[in-house]
Parts: sequence; C-alpha cells; structure tokens
Amino acid sequence: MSYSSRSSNGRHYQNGNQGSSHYKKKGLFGNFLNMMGSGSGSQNRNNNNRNQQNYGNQQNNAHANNQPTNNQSMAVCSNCNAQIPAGSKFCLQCGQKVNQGLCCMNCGEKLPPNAKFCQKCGNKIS
Amino acid sequence: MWGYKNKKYTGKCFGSYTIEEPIGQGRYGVCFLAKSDNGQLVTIKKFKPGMFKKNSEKNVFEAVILSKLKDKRVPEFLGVINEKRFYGFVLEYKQGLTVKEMLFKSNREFSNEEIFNIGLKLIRIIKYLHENGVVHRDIRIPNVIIDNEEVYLIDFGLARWSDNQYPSHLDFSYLGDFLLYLLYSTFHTKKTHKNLPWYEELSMTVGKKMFLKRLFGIEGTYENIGEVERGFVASFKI
Repeated sequence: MSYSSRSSNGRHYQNGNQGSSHYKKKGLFGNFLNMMGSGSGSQNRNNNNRNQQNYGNQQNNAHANNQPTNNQSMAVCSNCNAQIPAGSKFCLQCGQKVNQGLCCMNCGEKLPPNAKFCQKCGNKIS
Repeated sequence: MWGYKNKKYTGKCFGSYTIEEPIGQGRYGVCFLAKSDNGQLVTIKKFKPGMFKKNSEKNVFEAVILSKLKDKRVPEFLGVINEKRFYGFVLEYKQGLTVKEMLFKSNREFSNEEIFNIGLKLIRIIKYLHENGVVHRDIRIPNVIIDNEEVYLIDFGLARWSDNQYPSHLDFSYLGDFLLYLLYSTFHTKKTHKNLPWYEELSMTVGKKMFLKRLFGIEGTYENIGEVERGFVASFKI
C-alpha cells in the first residue's frame, strides 16, 4: 500500500519495491491516502532512503532559482501595483497580462514587451 | 464524487470564462472545465481560499514555469482569475483521458508496443523540461493524458527549477513508477497471492528489469534524461 511521506530536504522519490498490491489497486482509501501526500493534488509520494543515497551525489547546479524572488527580479503591475514574479506572463494578483502593463520597479517607467532593462534608468528587469 | 461546494460553481462566470464542471481536485483546491467567451475550452485551477496566499512563494513556480514553457505537450498558462473569493489559474485544456482513467475506469491493458510508444513520448517531454531547467516532481498516472496516441503532461503544481535542492533526477523514479503501472495492466493477480515487489512478480527481460531498477536507484543510477532515453529504447524497443 502506498503512504505519504516527505523527506526533510524536500526531495521525493517513489518506492521502487512495490508490487501488484500497489499497481493494481486504486480504491477510495488508496486515493485518500495519496491525496493527503500530494501538494498538487494527486497521489503518493514515497520516500526511499536507498534512492536518496544512490542519487545523492548527482546534483544539478544549472538553476538556483528556487528561492523567494527579490525585488530586483520583480516588476510592478501597472494595473494594481502588485509585484509580479520575474518570468510570469500575468500579474498573479489581478491577472493583467504582463507585456501590456509592466513598469520599472526603480523609476516607474512603462516597459515595452519582453524588456530586459528599463530604457530610462537601465534597471535590470529579469 | 463532487460535493455541493464544487458543483455550485457550474454555470457561473469569472472574467471571460464560464464554469462547466469540476474535473479534478487535490490539496490545492479544485480544477474546473470552463469555456471562454470565444468558445475555447480551458481548465481553471481554483485554489482553496487562503491556500494561494499561504503558499504564495511556492505557488508562483507553477505560473512562472508554465510562462516559460512553450510546447503543445504541456498546458499553456492563459491567465489569472481573482474575483469574488475565487482565485485560480487559467490553463489550456488538454483533451483525452488520463492514464489513471484508462487503467482504473476503462480497465485498459497496454501492449508492449503501446508501452514503448507512450514511454518514449513521455521521456521526450521530460527531456524538454530538463533542457529548460525544469523538474516536474509529479509524473504520475493522473497527470499524463493520452489523446489519439499523443501524450501530454499536466499539473506543474510541484514543478521547480532544477538545482541542488531539486535535482532533475527526481523525475526518474516517478517515470519508473509510471511505467510499472502500464506493465501491470496485463498482470492478473491470483487468489493465493503473496505481496512481492515488481521485480519478483513481473515477467520481463533482464534489460527491462535493469532499466527500471536504475530509474528507482536500486541499481546504478542514470546521470541524465538522455541516458534514460537511450536505456529505454535499448530495453523496451520491440
């Protein structure tokens, strides 16, 4: 049976030692347990220590973006003045499409679509 | 299955969208099928009240990552709705059935050829994500949709930029688990059944077994998705 668990460092691995009792059954109880463990709403998240050990030395440094975004990498929505996370196509507060109303955080100048720098003050946008 | 709380939205308008019916739910809230003013079907992922604010730093990843991805195999991020205590993301609706529905509602049995085709298409979607620095972290049967032999990957609620904390190989054990669901579709349990792990229960070639064990990290692990793709083709090709 699957159950939910979560490793302290945020890594999740599927249990690699299950059989038909896991893969052939999806009853109400199984779904309930699965849903409890999923942040996105679907199913199980089994933590396998052996997997963590085997994969432990493989690390990918390509992106180090999983930190709260700072002000410099955000823009301000011209509609509601909420901060928009860098890269988002829409303001997450009011839904305004970003390339229609993006303003520079530094000087408030309206920015053209896909701008990387403010043309007035040179502030980096993303 | 859907409570009053979710059904009460049917027919209601939010922005330029009219809710048709609930189509999925999870800890985040509920997904609705909706129609835009111009007749386009979309999915609206409605967050539970307070859930988006509470987890706002985590939830923005889905919006930012989907804003970056441009591929027909993943849903497009179409907008945000924030009105009348209704907060949600508008996402492209993908037609078809989830693999979970195919297995457990339609009792579908997948042939080796189908498993190869679906598996390879899914691996290529994962390859596209990893090449764009994204790790999905939730590749499971309810999140894979099949429509006319096309494969789509949905639900980026747990997706992150790959880094030390979220290395891209996190997706490999999920891929292994997904493939085992397909392989078990033709396995029929007997009454005198013992609880055995898949590698003792399923009859398969040594190559397939080794491939799956490597995905789970039981044997020597794969370095990257390209290596996974080559291993899959070598062991599963008919």
